Amino acid sequence: MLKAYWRDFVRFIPLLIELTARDFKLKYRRSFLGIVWSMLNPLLIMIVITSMFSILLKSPPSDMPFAVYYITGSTLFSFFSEATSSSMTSVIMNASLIKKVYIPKYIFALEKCAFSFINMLLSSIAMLMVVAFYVIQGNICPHITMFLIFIPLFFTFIFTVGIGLILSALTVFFRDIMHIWNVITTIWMYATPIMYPVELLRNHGLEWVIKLNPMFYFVDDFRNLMINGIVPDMSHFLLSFIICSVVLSGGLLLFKKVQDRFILHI
Amino acid sequence: MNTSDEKMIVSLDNVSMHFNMSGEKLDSLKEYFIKLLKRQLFFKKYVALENISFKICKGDVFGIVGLNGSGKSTTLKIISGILKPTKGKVSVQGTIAPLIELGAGFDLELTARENIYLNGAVLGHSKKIMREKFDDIVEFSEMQNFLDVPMKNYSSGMVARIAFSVATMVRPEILIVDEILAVGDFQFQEKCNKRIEEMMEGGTTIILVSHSIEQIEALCNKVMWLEKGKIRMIGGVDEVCSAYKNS
Repeated sequence: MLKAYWRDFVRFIPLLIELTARDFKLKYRRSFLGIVWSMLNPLLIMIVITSMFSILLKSPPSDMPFAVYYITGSTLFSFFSEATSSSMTSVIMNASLIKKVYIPKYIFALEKCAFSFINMLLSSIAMLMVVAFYVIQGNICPHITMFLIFIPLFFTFIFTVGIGLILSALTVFFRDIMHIWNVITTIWMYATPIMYPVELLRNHGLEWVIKLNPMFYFVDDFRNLMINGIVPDMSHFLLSFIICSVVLSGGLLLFKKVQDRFILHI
Repeated sequence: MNTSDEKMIVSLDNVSMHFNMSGEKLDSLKEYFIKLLKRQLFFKKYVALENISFKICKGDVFGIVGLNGSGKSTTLKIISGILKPTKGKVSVQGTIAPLIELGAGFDLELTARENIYLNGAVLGHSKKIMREKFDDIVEFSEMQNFLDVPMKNYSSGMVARIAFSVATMVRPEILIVDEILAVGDFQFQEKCNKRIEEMMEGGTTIILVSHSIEQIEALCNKVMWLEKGKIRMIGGVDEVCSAYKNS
């Protein structure tokens, strides 16, 4: 049974690659700077936010420069929000295909996550540039632990795929989700310490928000490995692992359960 | 006719397909809960296929005839795995190339070159196979001069040429054809017919839906006649076709 699923998946890996390539081609077709925008965009947003906050806030969120603090968190979170919103509509968008050819339908949600992930890897270059800038300035020093960032990245990816599968399946039946998800990701972003220090929530007695927010663990581990040179303790990784397994298997099961009815609703 | 199990390539066993005929689609949560509360979530059931059983052997050219709405396309979609039947068992041995609607996998913003690879992947072919077959595909479609033009600028005949070439280039074990033989100009149509005949000689199993009884008579060896979701008659081409014409 599982073997059959695996064979089906392997057979459609070329499709996964082709669809991802299509998204890239269409995203940057006829643009002068092309793929450079994937790096330039987060950099420009960072500059805007940093200048805004340096006017509004007198104290930086931690001992690291705000620009570094912000861009490490936002790189990860933008991936999450971009990937979930695009995989949410992926099944509906490919209705014409689903109605005419047999394709394992989760491919579409997975493809959107993969596309956003590659996009994030490109925008990580912007993040590395900012980090390098502050290293040269002497504000922060580089740590060998930054080579471990693939661990929180991997967890974020799995978590995102799980959420993406759930959203794409439910959106077929309830289009309302398309409208509300944007609001939810905004709330979610403010519930994750990206622009403000973790202490801010602690001081307001809102620590439970962090504890319930899987994205916090990923972002925090990511930052610690990238900038602070701290390897999170195993319990953090274990917790991330459990969260990811639960969300991914939940997503897969839900998707599998309802996918045969997609065609009647798209 | 040999019906031993090893030569069986498609078999449908007591397959039924029901659709919900709720006048409108429920696309929003609000509607869903209102209807749930009003207990209006019981849909009218529409039976598209009822207890269909038949077998297709390797090398058969199997025709399906019937009036509009008799369940022909539903049957094809069930065989190709697009629809899951409500009841019953379907077993298919071998790869399927569905020519249900030409150009379904195309993204018209992309060029023909890009679309050929994309469509190949949609059909489950690896990039390596597609690279090998690419020149053949282009040659068959005769679209050499328009390869790098976005397909939104193509005429429908040109799109169909590319689509047919991709779908039939890698020889499938089962080819499903739903009324598409009217592709492009008459020269290309002849080419398509020739290719399908080549496939038949090469042992590909073909499932053909057509309203043209002449076409069915010319190509098929077995025919199934569907009427309102049930099998009215199944058997050799001559007896079924003559009964169908006299009905």
